[in-house]
Amino acid sequence: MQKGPNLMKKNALFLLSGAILLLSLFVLRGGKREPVSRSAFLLNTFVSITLYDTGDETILDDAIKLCQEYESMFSRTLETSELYALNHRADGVMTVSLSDDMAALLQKSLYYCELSKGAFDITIEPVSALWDFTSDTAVLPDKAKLERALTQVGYQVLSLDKNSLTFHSPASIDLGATAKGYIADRLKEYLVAAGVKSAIINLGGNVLCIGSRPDKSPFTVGLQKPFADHSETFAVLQVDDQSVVTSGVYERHFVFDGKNYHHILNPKTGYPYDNGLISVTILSDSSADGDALSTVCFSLGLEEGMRLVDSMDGVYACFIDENNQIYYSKGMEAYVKEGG
Amino acid sequence: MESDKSNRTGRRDLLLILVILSLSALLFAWNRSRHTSPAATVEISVDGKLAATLSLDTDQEFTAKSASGGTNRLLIQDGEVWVLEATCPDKICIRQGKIQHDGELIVCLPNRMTAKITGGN
Repeated sequence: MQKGPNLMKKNALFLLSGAILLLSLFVLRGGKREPVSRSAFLLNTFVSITLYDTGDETILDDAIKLCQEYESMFSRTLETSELYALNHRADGVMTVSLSDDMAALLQKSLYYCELSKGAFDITIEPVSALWDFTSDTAVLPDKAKLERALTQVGYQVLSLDKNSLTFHSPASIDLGATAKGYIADRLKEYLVAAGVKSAIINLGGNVLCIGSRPDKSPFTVGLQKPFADHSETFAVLQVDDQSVVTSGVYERHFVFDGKNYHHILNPKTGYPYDNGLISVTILSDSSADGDALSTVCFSLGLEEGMRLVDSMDGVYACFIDENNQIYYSKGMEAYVKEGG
Repeated sequence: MESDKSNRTGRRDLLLILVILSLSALLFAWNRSRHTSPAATVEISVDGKLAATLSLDTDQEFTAKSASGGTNRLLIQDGEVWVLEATCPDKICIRQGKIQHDGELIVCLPNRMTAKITGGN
């Protein structure tokens, strides 16, 4: 009985300190969570992944690792990549067996080759290999070489049957217009499986959102003014769980003799498309579709490209022509917050 | 004997309480420091490696050098950062203009250079 009050005092102290510990933990959790982010030079561009609803940085590390794995699969120039092995197969080898990822990406890519009736063609590789958009000095490819390379372009010589790809005549593949979108979708799958509900995957301007902001408001993605001196935006899109991809003449390009040469090449001529368009932005659920469609629609031009987008469910577009005129597809304006 | 034992438990309990309280204080302080913004700085990295962390309060210049020999000359003035000169072919880093807000970023792909604002508002 003697110890009674002493024990009670002790218990009270315990309770009090426990309460303070809980309180400080609560303040810690309740405070606005800082997003965590990881970035790297990968996939020939600047990659950054930002998580808004978790502080678990191991998820970020694994996502970047996944990105590296895909790069070592789809890179055109890396000599150890699966794509490099495909393109440099031994003479006489016609049928090659593919990894599941390569088969899935090729299937998607070939679908868009067909949909565009060859205005977009993944067998452009012999031609694109002749163009250098990263050198210090602007050089046009040799005309004769270009002509020769053009004879090897034509996706129809490829046939894909599950995981086996057959080349019916010599051809070589460039996945530059479709791989980033496919990779973004796979990264999203990985993050969602890890429990992430609010995040942005940005693969060099190829933006894929997971959900919305933690406060349930949509993410905003600014569309940059082409050729602007500063990072000015002409429109801001409200994006919820969707992908935004832009293809334009000002990304990888050079000016030669006063003419702008960009990386979206015409498989018929071997030269960049010159159809009055400056850029095409695609808003869609899947980034693989958005990535391919931004190039496909650019290649088809304003009229045909717009018709294609309007015929698709859940796909929206914004075209800009050389007079800085902006054209929205049906339903696109509902996502535009300001500008235009 | 009895009182000695209870004394020892008492001291141990007190120690535990002290540990819990100081843990709380630490957590509280850490939390405070996380949510009060420190002075703005710019973190300049080349190929993912931090090359310099500079205060935006001091007007200064910094030249980032890439492994392949390319350079980006950055200027800090009146709390803003921009790329003044660069050896890259596309000059996109220069076109990205001035940055000053927390999280804003300039990227030079050819030289694998990034300049990122941290802290401030």
